[in-house]
Amino acid sequence: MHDDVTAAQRAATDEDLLARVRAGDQGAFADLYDRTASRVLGLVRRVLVDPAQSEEVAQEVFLEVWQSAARFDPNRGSATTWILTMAHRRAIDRIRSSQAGRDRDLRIGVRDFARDYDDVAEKAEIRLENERVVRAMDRLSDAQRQAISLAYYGGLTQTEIADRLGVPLGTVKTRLRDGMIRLRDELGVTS
Amino acid sequence: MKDCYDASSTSGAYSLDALSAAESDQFEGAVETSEGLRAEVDGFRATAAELGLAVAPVEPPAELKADLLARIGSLPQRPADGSAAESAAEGAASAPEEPMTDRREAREHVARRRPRTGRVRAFPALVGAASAVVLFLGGALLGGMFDAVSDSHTSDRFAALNAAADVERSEFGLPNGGTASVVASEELGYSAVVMHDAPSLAENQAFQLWYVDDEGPVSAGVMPPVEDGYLVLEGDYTGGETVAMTVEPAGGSEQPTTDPMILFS
Repeated sequence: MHDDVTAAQRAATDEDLLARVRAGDQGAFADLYDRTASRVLGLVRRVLVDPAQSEEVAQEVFLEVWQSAARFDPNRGSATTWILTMAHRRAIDRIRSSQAGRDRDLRIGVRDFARDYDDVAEKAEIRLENERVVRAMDRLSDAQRQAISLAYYGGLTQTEIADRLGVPLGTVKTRLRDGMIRLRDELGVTS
Repeated sequence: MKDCYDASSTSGAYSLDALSAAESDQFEGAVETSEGLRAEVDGFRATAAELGLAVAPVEPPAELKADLLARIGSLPQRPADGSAAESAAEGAASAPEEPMTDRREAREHVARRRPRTGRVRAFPALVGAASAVVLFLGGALLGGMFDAVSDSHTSDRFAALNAAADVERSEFGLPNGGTASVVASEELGYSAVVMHDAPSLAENQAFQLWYVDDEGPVSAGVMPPVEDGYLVLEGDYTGGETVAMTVEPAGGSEQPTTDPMILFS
């Protein structure tokens, strides 16, 4: 998933830790938490905005990691992907189940993607990942990038995106899928 | 074509969590039967995770980790198998709200902690049972100790201990069944004893923990006779101490009055 050596090694170790978590190893769980917690909370905060709710959701994510470690299937993706997928889904579930979520300021569409990128520029590894993603996002059409941002960072459903943009649902589906294909290929994700 | 559900066009939205619950269920049904669709979703999931990694990390407060570590000890893990429907149902139920009452599974976690074997050695005859002064500290102290087990400060300390970088663990098989494990960190300067399937004691008895150094044993706290539980020991763990346990009158004794079990040395 990553083409730089550090990230690849790190990913391999996360899978090892997850295998130990599966066997009930609390120390491995603590290590896995140390490696991934700031990423999980970063993503959840980006989606949910509210700090207190975000911490609650991050905690739920890690309880799920502990409880469901045996259900991680390494053939279907990396440990990081598994954990961030759960984090995103739980953040989205929180938005959709709460009034707070509906009242939330949907600034996603106008948020500048580069701002997050600047925030973490001092961390070399993160900067690299960001550059790759920013570059890949730049390769999408404006319509694709907008649809993906509204869905992933904004937490909107495909129907909500269609309503908001005043385009047919089928168009949104196509933008999301074509955009993801492009993004996947630009990022060199193999699966 | 209008009436036909076209799953393949929905894979992007699904991977970005942009489907309603009903749409999501429908799509997952289609994934079950299509190897190609499944592969596409896996690739999109990994791609979406890259989007997730691209946002600024946020460092969680330390309490979050301590709280988690305190909770997982009693939180059973789910088996590997599980249908999509089952997973979905579990996903809907908020994980932290689930009861943590599967004692057997919880105990297994304790048992799985790596024992530090071969370190149990004979305890010097510290005990002159006949001449020992038995001091009853009274029921008030015993109650206080037990309450401390559920006290959040204590559980935070216990969690921090389990998460310490230099944590050492040893497991000791009790003579009448069950185990007593020591978790210790020189860096944090304290230790704890975890009882697992401990045998029952007489009504007026309790386990007492001792730190033992060249000067002899010093009481490190009294643990009421619980089958499963832990006690964060009083006093400092500096790395050189032996941790011993005796059976004492309920309130504890000033010096050991029964044969000590060396849990950790």
